[in-house]
Amino acid sequence: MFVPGKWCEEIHVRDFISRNYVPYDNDASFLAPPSEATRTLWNRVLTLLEQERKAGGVLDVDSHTVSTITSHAPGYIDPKLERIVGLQTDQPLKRAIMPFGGIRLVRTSLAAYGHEMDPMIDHIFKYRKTHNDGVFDAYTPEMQRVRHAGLITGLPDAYGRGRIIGDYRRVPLYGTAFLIAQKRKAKDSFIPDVMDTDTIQNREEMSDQVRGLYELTKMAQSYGFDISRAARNFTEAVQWLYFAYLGAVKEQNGAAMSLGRVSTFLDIYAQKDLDEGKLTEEEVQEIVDQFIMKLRLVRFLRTPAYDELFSGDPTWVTESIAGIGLDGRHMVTKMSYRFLHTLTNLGPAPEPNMTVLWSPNLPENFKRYCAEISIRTSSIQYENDDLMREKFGDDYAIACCVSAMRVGKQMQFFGARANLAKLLLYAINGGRDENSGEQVGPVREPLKSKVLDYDEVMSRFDEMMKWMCKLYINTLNVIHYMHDKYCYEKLEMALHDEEVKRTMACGLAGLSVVADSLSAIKFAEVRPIRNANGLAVDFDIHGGYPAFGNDDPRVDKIATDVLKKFMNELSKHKTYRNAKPTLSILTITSNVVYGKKTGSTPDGRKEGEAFAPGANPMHGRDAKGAVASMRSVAQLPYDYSEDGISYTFSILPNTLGKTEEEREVNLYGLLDGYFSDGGQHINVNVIQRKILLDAMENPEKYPQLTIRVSGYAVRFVRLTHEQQMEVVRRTVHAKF
Amino acid sequence: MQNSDFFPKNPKTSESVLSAKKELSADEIFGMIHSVETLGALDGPGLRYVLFLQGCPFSCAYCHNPDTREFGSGYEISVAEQFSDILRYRKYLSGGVTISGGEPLAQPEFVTALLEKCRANHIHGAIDTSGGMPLKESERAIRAADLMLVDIKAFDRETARSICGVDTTRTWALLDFCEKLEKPVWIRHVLVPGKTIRVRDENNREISGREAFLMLNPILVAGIQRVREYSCVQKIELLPFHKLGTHKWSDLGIPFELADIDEPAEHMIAWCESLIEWIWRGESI
Repeated sequence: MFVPGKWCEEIHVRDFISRNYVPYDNDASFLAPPSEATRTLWNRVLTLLEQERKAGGVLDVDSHTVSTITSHAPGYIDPKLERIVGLQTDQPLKRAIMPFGGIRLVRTSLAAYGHEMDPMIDHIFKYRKTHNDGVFDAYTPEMQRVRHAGLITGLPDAYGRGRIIGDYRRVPLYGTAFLIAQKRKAKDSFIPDVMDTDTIQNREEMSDQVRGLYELTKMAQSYGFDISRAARNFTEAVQWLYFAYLGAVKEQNGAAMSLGRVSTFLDIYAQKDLDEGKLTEEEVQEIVDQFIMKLRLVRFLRTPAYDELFSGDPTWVTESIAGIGLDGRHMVTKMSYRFLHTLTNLGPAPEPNMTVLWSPNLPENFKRYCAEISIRTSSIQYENDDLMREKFGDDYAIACCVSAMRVGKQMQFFGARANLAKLLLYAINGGRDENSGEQVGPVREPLKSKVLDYDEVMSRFDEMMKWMCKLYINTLNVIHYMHDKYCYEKLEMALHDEEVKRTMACGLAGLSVVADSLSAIKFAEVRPIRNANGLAVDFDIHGGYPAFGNDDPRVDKIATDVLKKFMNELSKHKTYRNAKPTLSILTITSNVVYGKKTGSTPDGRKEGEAFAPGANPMHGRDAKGAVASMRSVAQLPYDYSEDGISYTFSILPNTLGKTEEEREVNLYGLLDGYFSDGGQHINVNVIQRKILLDAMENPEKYPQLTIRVSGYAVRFVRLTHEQQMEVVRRTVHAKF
Repeated sequence: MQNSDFFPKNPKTSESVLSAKKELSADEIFGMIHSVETLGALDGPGLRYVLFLQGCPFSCAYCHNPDTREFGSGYEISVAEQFSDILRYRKYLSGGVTISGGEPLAQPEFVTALLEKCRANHIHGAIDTSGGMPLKESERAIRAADLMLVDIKAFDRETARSICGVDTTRTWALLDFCEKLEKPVWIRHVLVPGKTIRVRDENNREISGREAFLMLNPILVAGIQRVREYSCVQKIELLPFHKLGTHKWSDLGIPFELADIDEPAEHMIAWCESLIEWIWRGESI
């Protein structure tokens, strides 16, 4: 029996966990190898993955069925071998169409991969409006202009917004019948005197949520399981939880469909079965391996343009592992090890996006193990638990890459990002786009001086920032109003409390370009080179300037000030559903595309050159080594960038230490240092440059080669050539 | 004392220091720096702040930092300023600080003062040197260090002189001094095929067996045996010659003499490593 508590009376997963989990301090020696069945299944999956790669990225699409929680017949890889079942469609890697975000996107995607839209579906969507239609009905011309110019891009206005984490643990803990009853009760008690827009919307959503839970129950039934009751053992707990997640990815093609924080929750069930002699460690690992295998198969149909922005088919099935509880006990369990161990049993992989919530107070054994697996697989990212626990408690999880939220209690309105480097050019060019010459921003006299004056540029930049932040928030208001209306995540939201905290998650790209540009203007002499139309299209720089990434307060402070200003501006505006504006510094792989769309900048970066990913310093300007770079990034204030600050660290194994042991100890020493300096996120890649180069030549030799790119991991061979080159260029950090 | 023109010409640095009688404070002693590596995991134990001093009087053919050779370039910094920068990284420095170069012992006052400051603050300090500077000028710095990384350029004088222009007599004298002080030493030795190790036999065929390799490399064997005699030596690190720094030579417009030499094969490195192990265990070869 589990230790009872509040969780027995109401939905309170955290209470269940904290009363029942057992922290694990020992080492990894208990871990079991993959079972025969797992091995056979995984080999079959590898074959499918290779077929998928050869087919140009998409193996198959079901173009006849609009995906819903219950739309597809059960699918299997091999029912005789599968311990955990369930696929998004009736076949592994066959993608579904999810047109509620936007029918146009589905059409483009189908065409790109040689499929035709089913005429029936085409017909239906003549009468059924989508999120995308709604957004464009409400967009202002100015919104369309900034979107087109690439000033604010990646906006979820044509596809699912994602970054919502259902509390999938609720399904095994309570069963859907109880969850439905609770939702009904909540709806019945939510009858205020005034039926205003908010109330009506909330009541309608609650009904949708109940519907979502019914559909989920039905879907599980089609596989032969009754999830209306709570799970009774570990196998059921994993299966129930996976069904809940599967329901979400059948319903929503969200940009990031993260899993939450499930490992320590599941450990409670596993430990009970182990204690009662119902399962062996081998069997527990087999179930974990097979669950993870399923998560690796999640696919969405996306356009080639999307792939260019975020390549490698990311789904951000982010799982948050470890951390420290509010009661001071660490939350490392055997299951934390088992999850990471799948990177050994099944080999490295980008998904699920393994995220370790780090604290220097985690047990040494675990830190050492993480370092070992990181060095071997480059598949783990780390985030600062000490920093986030203060704001989000001890039952938060990471959505996507760096966005922390309390599980089941908080969601975000994903807002992609604004191109800050381009905005700086607008400040210099009087609101005109440096590439098209088009007037995108407010009309201002372009700066005329021969040498750029710091104060003048700053005052223009401030003004442009004010303009853009207002526009940015308003644009997101439109998007999320429509998303709720036409593409509501009924199942994910059914696995939330009724009262949800919402954030308006804005983002920015090009922070280091902007910091360096302003530093150049301040400390060196920057002369704009203007074309015939008076647009500054290039810059002559005389003298040196302190560059971001060298732990030099002169420029690091510029970066911090820009960040604070931006955040303060965002906070001034009214948001849809009173969401709290937040900010992330995260690009994923889009730093390449943002760079491509941005003219030369005053820091000496040439037109079209990639930005640094996330909050990284610009490549080649970090002269003092990686720790200095880490410190520059770590000093960026999380309070002003609460949606996360991404830093990608790549190092050659030989630079990290001479022996395996040295490398492990050094790596976790670096993590302890970086996080105690206040860093929020770090991707760790320990990889040989020559392997990357060989993989570019011979992709078939490296099907599982995984690297971390600003906030997620990706199969290297699935990146575009440009992105591969960008990764290779950054894989240095070697002084010899 | 100033019998060489190796010392930086800057009046604020060595010359005024050397002529002054009184002890100078940390604000008054300056060093010429090439660069800093805040993530040093290869030069001494643990994670280290590695300070590359500018200027080296030697001209090793296989130098991988030729850009640190020239005296008079780089940037100037006082001991106090340098130390306060080190302190910024303190929590990362599981190892400590290594002063490398260039040739750190070409700026002995700066090195001494900086290491004394480190020691006073319980930060482990190492010097990475060729041992080629006159011992007398280096003594204080060596005393101030917690660990000496001594690069023996070659185990025979001729090779040392021909590829580095270094007199290894001074290196051995430095080791004798360390022995007297009981100063921990890590020896480093670069394996350069055709120079510090023979990889081909008299018929110009690649040596195929370990025994033949040892037979044909008596200088290496004797050298390691000689090092073994020092009880202050804790470790020998063999550094396989590599050409990753080739671009630095071309950037500087200096021809890279060893451009045609191949990096040593992995199995040969392994032979050399096992050789060290045997000698260390006192086994016969």
